[in-house]
Amino acid sequence: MKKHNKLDEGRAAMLLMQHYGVLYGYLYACVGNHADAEDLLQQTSLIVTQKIHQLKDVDGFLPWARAIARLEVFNFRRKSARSPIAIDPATAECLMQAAERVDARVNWTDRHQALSDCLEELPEHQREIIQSRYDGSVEDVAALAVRLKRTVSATYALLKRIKQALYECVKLKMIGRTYA
Amino acid sequence: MKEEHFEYLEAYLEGMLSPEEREDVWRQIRRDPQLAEELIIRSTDQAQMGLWAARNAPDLLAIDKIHKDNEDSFKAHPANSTTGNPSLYRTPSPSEKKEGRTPFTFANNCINSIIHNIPRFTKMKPNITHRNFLSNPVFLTGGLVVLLVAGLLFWFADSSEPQEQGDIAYFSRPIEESDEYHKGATIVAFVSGEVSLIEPSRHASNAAAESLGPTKRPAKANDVLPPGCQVHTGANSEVILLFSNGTIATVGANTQMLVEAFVQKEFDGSDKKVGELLEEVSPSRMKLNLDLGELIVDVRKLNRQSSLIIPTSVGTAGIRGTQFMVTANEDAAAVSVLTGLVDFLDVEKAVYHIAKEARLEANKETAPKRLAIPITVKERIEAAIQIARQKTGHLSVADLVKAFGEVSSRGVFI
Repeated sequence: MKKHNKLDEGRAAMLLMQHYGVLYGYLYACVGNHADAEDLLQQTSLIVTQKIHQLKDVDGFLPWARAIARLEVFNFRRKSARSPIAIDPATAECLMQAAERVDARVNWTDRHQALSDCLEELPEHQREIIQSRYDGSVEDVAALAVRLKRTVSATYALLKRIKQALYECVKLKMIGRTYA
Repeated sequence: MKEEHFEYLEAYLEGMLSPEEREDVWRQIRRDPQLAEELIIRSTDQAQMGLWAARNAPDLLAIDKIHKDNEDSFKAHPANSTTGNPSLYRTPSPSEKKEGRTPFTFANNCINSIIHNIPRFTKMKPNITHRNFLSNPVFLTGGLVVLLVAGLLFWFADSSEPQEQGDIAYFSRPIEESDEYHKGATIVAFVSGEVSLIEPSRHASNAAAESLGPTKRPAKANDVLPPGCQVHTGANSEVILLFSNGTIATVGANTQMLVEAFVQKEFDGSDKKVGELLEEVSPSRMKLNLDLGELIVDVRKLNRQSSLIIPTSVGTAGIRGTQFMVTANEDAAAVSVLTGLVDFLDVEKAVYHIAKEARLEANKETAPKRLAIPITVKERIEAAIQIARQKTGHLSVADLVKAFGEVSSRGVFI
């Protein structure tokens, strides 16, 4: 298949869209909170868009973009050197290597599809809880608890249980895909 | 992957860990490639949940509509044909040509739409118990074997038979002021919903104040309470209390609890955080009456001289340093133990040991029964303790000393 060597900003945007979840996942694993991961992804997206012409082969986009993301994590650490939440470079590097190993064995497209299917299969009440937690309409678990008319700790426990059920569901679906 | 590992990573991703515990996670990740890979998979899955939720959110439904309205103007980019993803690359529409906008603008807007629709998640930081077993598989395996054997013994044991009679003295240790013991303080660390406090008269020598009787007021964070305070919570409400010996209690919804007595020996302040305490700051004796509702307690290791008892309508729980939950109403009570050991003294003055991950249910009609702790209760206790530690993580031993001094100087009667 013919490869498109000319990579422009539009192509960068498309590739960012395609690999959004995986890049965000790496940053989120590094910083452990969504607000910082979001900021870092925006910064990474900007640099990827500016430097896309340096990329020789579109197949190498994900490791290349992830390397940029890792540098942004380092910058983030420098800017917040006194912050207790700043990850050290060795761990960021370790997570990058882990991400590359996972890339090699996990078909992300299949996994994302399996997750979407599992989300749709959740009982309605549980699906609404995941929706509320992740659609940005509540600030945190405490706000979610108010909406659900539950205590904070009960809400956190419930959320954890639903997510565990989702992971189990995805695992089963992925096994099904492997042997289908 | 073990359930404990899952919990550890989830707590990390939910921002529930203290800085020290985050460091611990990173250490484990550097040591254990599988753990690092699991974290990557889970964090990516949660990013995908964010996308799924954003797709179903009203803002992006509007974007979907724009997409549909412009469907005719879309065409697949050749390079995109192998990805199986919806194309975002298209030729400019007539209006875009007229306005000088490019297809990239739309694609970029899509990126921004998605990025800007990523929700603002909780930034709760500290705190959870250290789980160093992650680095020690030998200990973990040994622990599992011990648990299995203990579970089998427990299974075959007569659940209605009290285990010990000698521990009854623990329940009758005096809880009163002396030259050594002074009134302990209770700090309100977090309030959610409707929580009211009923304080005793502050100065018994002040006849006017005494004649007014107890005062009821809404609880607010950072209140410092003397012994004798009652705590009432409404529906969907919760309050987290930090006692000056380092014990943390989560008072659940629809609960009526009384700090009936609390005395403690003097201690020195330090910058050490409450979350770092492994044992209580000084010997203490405490009695928390649970009339109705739910109480989840995280007790640091108690001194040999110390005691913590929780009377209910059908018996009294005696604690030596553990994480547990007590629920009670007029006719029944249940004690669920996550870690450590709790003794339960029933109305017949028989003492029952409740071990780790066990539950004892008691009522007025039948003898107490021991059961395995239900998973939902276990999760409830774990979650409450994580949140309670998070809400108290910023406080130091110096703050405990300050509150202790404040209450001791009030002259409040126990």
